[in-house]
Amino acid sequence: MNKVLQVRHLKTWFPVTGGVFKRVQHYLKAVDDVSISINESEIIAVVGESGCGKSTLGRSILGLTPVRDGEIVLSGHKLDIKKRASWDPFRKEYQIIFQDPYSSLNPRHTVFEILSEPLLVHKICSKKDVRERVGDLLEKVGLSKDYIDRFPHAFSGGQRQRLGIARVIGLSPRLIICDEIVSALDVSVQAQIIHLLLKLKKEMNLSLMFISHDLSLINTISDAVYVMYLGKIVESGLREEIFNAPRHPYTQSLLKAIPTLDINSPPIILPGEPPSLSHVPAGCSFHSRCPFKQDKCVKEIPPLQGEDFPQVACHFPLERP
Amino acid sequence: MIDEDDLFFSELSIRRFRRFKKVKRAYYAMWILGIVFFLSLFCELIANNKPYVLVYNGNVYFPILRFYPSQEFGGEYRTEADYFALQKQSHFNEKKSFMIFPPVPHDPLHSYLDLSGEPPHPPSLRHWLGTDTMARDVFARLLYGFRICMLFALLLALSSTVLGIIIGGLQGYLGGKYDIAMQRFIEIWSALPFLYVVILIGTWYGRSFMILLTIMSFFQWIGLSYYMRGEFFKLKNMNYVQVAKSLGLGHFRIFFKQILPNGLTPVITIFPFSLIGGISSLTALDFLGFGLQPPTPSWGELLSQGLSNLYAPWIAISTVCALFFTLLLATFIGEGVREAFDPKSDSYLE
Repeated sequence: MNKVLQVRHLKTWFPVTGGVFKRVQHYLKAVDDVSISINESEIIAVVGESGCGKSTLGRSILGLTPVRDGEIVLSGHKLDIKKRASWDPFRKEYQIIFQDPYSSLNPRHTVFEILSEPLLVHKICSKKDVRERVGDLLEKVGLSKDYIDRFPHAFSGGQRQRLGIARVIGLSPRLIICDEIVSALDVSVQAQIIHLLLKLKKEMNLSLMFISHDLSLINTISDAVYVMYLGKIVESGLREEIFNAPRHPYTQSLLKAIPTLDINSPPIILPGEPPSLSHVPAGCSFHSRCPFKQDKCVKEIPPLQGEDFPQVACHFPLERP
Repeated sequence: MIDEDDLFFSELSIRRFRRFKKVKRAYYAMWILGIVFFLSLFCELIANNKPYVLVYNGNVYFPILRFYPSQEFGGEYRTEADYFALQKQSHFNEKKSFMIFPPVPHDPLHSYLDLSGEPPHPPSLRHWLGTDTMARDVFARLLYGFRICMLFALLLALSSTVLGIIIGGLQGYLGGKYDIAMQRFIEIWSALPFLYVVILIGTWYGRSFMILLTIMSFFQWIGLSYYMRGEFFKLKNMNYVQVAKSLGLGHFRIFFKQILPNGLTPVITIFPFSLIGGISSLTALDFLGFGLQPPTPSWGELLSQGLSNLYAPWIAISTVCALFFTLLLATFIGEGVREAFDPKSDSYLE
């Protein structure tokens, strides 16, 4: 299988400065030692609570946030992560769509300007044909060609997200990172956007990386799932493995939190709030909220066990049924 | 979902323009100042001591466009004809000749030595606002002075805006070390005593329009650069800028096409006020004698004449009034623009 993206031991740490001389006091480890890989035309999902670093992971992969350490391999080419320019040859094929459809379109540009700019910058088509091409893109994402000269303010959230999709698929990318792209939308619109993406994925042989906290959505579309907690991957595996037999207590409680009609499966309420990323507990970062905590969990950081799927980072993983 | 009427401007711009129009005094001030400035660009057609058309001996001349020696019209010298004097000469009237003068038949640089009494002459039918100490027509000098003043202020506001956008924008866009270094430089730069610099450079390189403009725009950009720095700091983290980066757009495009159009609010609100600043500082420099080279018609020079000749109040009064109304109109415009861009009023329902 062709790997579209491989990330090994990626670390994105934000320095926290303080004191008179603005010295670095400690680091906020938004992404800490994360490894993921995506095969061609695969859909993977990264799930976790708000603030666990999943969005930072997406941005780091595309070089939008300075990375501290690790390896990023895009279509077989290892990037020099310290140089921003090393991403440049891959800008066309690796794209991101953000959560908020309102702030991701420039309010002073018309639809035509928004959609044509990437096409012209990457010389996908000439200035002469660009208008026609933009019209095609609009129709491809289910919008009317007549909207071409309007400003973003005239569109609804779902329509804006369609524009966001149109903007990136014009470049025929290999991978699109979808950073919570539907969480700001109405449920009915969510389904439309997801269907559109899946349709485009089939047509264009895309790989998708979904960053989300919507577990039922992930259960329906993804091939593989990574569960993140406080900047670390705590469990990963194929979708069936994760959803049918979670081995990390955190994953289990996440899955139990999906609202169901089954009265015999009450949610597991975890005590307390997730700790702040700048003060991660020692030992297993989940020990402060884990219902199965033991002494070892407080002292030792559990390594991510297993080379390939399934992996779990727990001293006492739950038994497979 | 889609408004049919405003397809070509962003919603915010339209709302702001409507709000600007609502501030009546600003809207009218804009028109008045705009029209007067536009007319003043054609000063030569309004105030000039050369006639538009002259018919002499059956020949048609256009003195306003071309130079004619006074020999053409029966004079003795090869110098330019004095058309005002020519009009009164008997041989001119005998030969069925006539000329059409502009509405104000005076040149701002011409000294009227034929007037009786000593200059400054009080207002009369011929010189509406009187003459100054060198017997030059005050009205014509005010008119030409207005043009120079406005041109200077406009160019100054433009150049300092461009400098402020680029320097402040780069500070916000790049951040980090460049930002800190530039910020310290600005602190030192803004502490330079402006007047001394003007005097020093003036003594070295002379006092031309361009030199004065250059020196002053080197000092004027600082205020705007602070605002632009803030805007760029804020806007560079907007999602559409991040998307633009991940789409592979170059820095130039991101700076000028993605961020700048969204960060123009301080530019537009400050512009009228920097225009006012330009007018007042040129006038002040002229008043002190460090401004434009005499005999350039200038308001500051007229003001200082008026001050030293208080017994001839027509000089001071007319200049002060002209200055007052110009600044007032510009302030009205600035106030209207500020009102239109006030983010607070966006949150109220009308």
